[in-house]
Amino acid sequence: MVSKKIGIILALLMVISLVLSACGPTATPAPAEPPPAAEPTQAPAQTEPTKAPEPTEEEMEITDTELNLLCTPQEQWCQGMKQEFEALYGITVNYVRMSSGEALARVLAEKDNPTFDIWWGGPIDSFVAAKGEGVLEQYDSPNYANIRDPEKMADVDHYWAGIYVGTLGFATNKDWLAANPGTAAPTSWDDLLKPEFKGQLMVAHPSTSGTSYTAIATVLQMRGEEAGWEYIKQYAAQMAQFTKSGAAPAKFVGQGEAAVAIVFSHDIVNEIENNKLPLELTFPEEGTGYEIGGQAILKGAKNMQAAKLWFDWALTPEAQSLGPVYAAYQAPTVNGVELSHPELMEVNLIDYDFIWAGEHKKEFVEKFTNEIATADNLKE
Amino acid sequence: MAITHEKPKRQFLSGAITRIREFTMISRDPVLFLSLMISGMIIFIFVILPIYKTVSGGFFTPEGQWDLSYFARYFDDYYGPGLRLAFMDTMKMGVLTATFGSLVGFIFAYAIVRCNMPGKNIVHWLALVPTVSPPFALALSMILLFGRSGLITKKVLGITYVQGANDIYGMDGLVIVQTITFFSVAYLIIRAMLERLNPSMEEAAASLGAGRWHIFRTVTLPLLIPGLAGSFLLLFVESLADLGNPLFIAGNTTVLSSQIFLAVIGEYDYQKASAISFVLIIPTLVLYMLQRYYVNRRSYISVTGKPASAQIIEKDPIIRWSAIIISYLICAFVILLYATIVYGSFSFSWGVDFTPSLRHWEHTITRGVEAILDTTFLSALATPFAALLGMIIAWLVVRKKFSGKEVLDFSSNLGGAVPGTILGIGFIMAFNTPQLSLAIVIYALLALFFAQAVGKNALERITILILGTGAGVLVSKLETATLYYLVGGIYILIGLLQAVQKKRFATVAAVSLVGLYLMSTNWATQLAKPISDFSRTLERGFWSNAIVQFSDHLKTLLQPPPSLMAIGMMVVGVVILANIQKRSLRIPLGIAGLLVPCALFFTGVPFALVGGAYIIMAAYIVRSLPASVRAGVATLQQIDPSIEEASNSLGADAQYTFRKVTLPLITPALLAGLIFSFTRHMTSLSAIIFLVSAKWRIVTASILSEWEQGGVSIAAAYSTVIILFVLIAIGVLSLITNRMFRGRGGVDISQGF
Repeated sequence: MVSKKIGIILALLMVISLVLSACGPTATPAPAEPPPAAEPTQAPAQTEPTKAPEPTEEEMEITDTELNLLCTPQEQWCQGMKQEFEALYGITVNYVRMSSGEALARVLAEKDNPTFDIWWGGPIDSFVAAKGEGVLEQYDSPNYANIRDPEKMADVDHYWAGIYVGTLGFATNKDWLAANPGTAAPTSWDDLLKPEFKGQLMVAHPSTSGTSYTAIATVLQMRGEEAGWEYIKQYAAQMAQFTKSGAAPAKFVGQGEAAVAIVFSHDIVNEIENNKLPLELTFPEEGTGYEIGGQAILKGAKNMQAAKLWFDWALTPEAQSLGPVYAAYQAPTVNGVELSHPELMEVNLIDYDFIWAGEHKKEFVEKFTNEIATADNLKE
Repeated sequence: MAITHEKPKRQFLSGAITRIREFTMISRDPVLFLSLMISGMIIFIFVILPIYKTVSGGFFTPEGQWDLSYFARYFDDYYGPGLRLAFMDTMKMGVLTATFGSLVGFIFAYAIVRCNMPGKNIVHWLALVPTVSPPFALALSMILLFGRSGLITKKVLGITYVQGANDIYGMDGLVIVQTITFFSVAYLIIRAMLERLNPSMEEAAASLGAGRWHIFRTVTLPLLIPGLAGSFLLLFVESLADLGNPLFIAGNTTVLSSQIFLAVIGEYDYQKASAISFVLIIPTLVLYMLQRYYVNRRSYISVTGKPASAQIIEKDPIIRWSAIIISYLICAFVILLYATIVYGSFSFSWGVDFTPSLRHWEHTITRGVEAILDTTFLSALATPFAALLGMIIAWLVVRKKFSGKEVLDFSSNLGGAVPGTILGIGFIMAFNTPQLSLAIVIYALLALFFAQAVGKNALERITILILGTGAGVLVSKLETATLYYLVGGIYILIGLLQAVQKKRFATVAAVSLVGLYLMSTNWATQLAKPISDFSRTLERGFWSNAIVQFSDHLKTLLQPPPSLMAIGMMVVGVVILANIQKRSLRIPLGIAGLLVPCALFFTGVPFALVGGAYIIMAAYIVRSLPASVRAGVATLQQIDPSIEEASNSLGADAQYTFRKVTLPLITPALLAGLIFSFTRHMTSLSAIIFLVSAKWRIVTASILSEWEQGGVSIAAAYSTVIILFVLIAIGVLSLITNRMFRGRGGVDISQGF
């Protein structure tokens, strides 16, 4: 009798645990309407989907059913691109979002046993580093021809390709400016060192964030290493906090946690337009750095065919014009896409050396972590 | 001289002989044998090995050269100051959190036990709420309330942040959050102590004319010292291990756990991470052992056994009401913090526009449904294993005598005691590209056990061992699909053979089902395909994201990693084949039975688990094991062993006694174990943060990512979902328990935390 009872209990428990996992979503408040999948219909990719795949691939049968995506831009764009790609090719995309430093660490750790097929987004210096470690797959996509400036935006050996361009800007909280008369939004790198911004700057930590590393590398390229590090020391001393993700400071500054954020301008536009945060966007007049976001297939990818489809697709004007639909205002790398925010590109850009920045990344990040971020002046 | 040398040698020899004799004795008791084998194996693979990998990793360069440079950095002038500062800050955080946490816990316990507090039960449950929420939920709501743009700081009090002002970020905010997060542990420990305190001592002191304060100082407090010390040390350990709160709220203060995290995700420097882990694990282990072996031993002195019949009630109204009011205030604070999380998930843009809006929930539900379903599925699937394993270990520890028992007990607790980051790094290091030697050693041990159990004499055992392994290694070279059909076929054949022998139908069916299950690995993809195909026909969004997960879940159920399946098949083999009487059948069946796990063991790369679902479940189980072991131990210690002895003396064997007597008695504890395990699984962050993959996203890791990316509101929405699910699970399980054990009293949920 007793053992039967226990049998029943255990069986019940199993059922419950199954039911629990099955009923999961119904327990959460009102499952939302299907996401704004209707909106993308305005995008060209939906109106003429036949243009996206190359003719040779159309003949080829698609056998992969899944794609494991390592996604570095913001969640909303990752999720949107996932859905667009799924709708186009009928391949299920699994993705996880990581900051670019985190993504690089993961890709290197999984060198012998890769769980991702493609890595999409994040500044290309991570891709330069990954190529150096031999974890990327060489792929001659036919769509390299679409790229505007192949010299800068694509790897000479075709290990990676650029998919977006973003410029570095400053976001200043308007309410803070109003509350502190006599202050103005910074318009040069030296403005950031003004005494009124002490403890009021926010930027991500360069070890986890490509954004923040771009800022450091920009300064080092503009001023030379010696003067550059001297500047960075003072710059770091102005910080309220280092965040993990590059775009976060814009949000925090918009909420009033600090006065000025050093962030990519497209992230600032997102906060202003979609989250209605009171931010003012400015650029350093003497020149600012920019990022090229890259993508690459990982060596040993288990869904190679799907990965190549994604790689080709991401280099089409159709795919690149989807960004603004999902609140991503980066400029495209391919021809034939209208800019959603041309003003972001009409600024004084320095001749950013991506290869140099990529090669020195480990050294500079280590120097920053050990000499600057743990310096005593940050602790108080 | 010769004699003095001889003595220890002889002792050692006789010791070894005793061990061997003991081993033979154990191997005659199949239940003990099997439970020891499973629990020992799991603990070795998933607790000892990963911790060893992490700790030793700090001493070697990635190329395997002996290298102490990361430790030397603590003493030089370049890196030293920063590293030492982080170490000192960590210790400061531990001391402060432990002190304040124990103090708050003491006040709660005193108010509830001695002050006749109105609303005792509600306060008790509120004090336990922080244990069922994600570890960083409170940091999140502290920032929402008291951050520079917090609801209270900015909206209510109208404070604007000025440069240099002290804000919530930093050591002070961190300590407040940790105090609220961990004080429940202190409360439970001190409350138990206070309830068992024999009032006669205080009464004696009072009747001898001592004043209240004098009694408290010279009688009550000394009696409570072990409890206070125990809670202090445990809180210290928990505080050092915490990763979520420091990441959220520590500002520019660096502590060791976040340093380890950054070394891995920011710098991809496993040696550095391991070296810091070593620095962190030493104080953790010292404190933990101190708590376990010193304080716990001492505490037995003051425990008289049963709770004292009457409690002393605090008469002094000032003391009584101040304790009660402080407890109420903290409860109100806890409620406020959790309400803020829910409110935060609904506000349009926190800090700027507090109007309610559903937009964050839309995002959370569409893009978070995968993570939510995966987390719930993996947590639920790991739960029965964790609870069962915890019960088995508790049973071994309380009821059985064998050498190495103390080691088993200690190491089963180790997985929960060491900081989760250390375990997570160890998992990556041990199971990314594992060496074949690991699989060989584990196989050899298991195969010896198997041969010992199945064969009846040395010759038979050696035959089974050699032929079974040989055949298994050959089979493992086959193509995967053929291999699974073959091993599944073997089990179906064994089932048929048993049918011919007129065994019970249930046995035959069970064996054949095992065979089918093995074969189904080949069909999993086909079985799951209709589900995923269906999901692709739907409009992209919530439902397509949700349904495709179920196909993954089905595949996961049917396709465990072969090396883990092999361990399971070894156990199944022993259970089925242990008592074959016919000699002509024993050897061939033994060989076939060993062939199956052997083939599974050596196909592909054994134990290459990184990126899959099972490694996350393993991490979950390891983290929740101590709680279910404690629940089991507590229950078993209350059951008089004479009941089991009676069953034995009436002729029942160990297995029958366990099934018919012990199991029914410990079922409440088993259910309690289920509750703790599920809660721990759903809320764990530090151990699994390095293990998430594109296929298996975990909500707690998503919270961390969304927190900075999508904003606090989405992080708050995810936290709300987790808390809700955990509360539902607790509610359902408690309901079942209460229904079933109405007469015998329900589960005391607090005993396992």
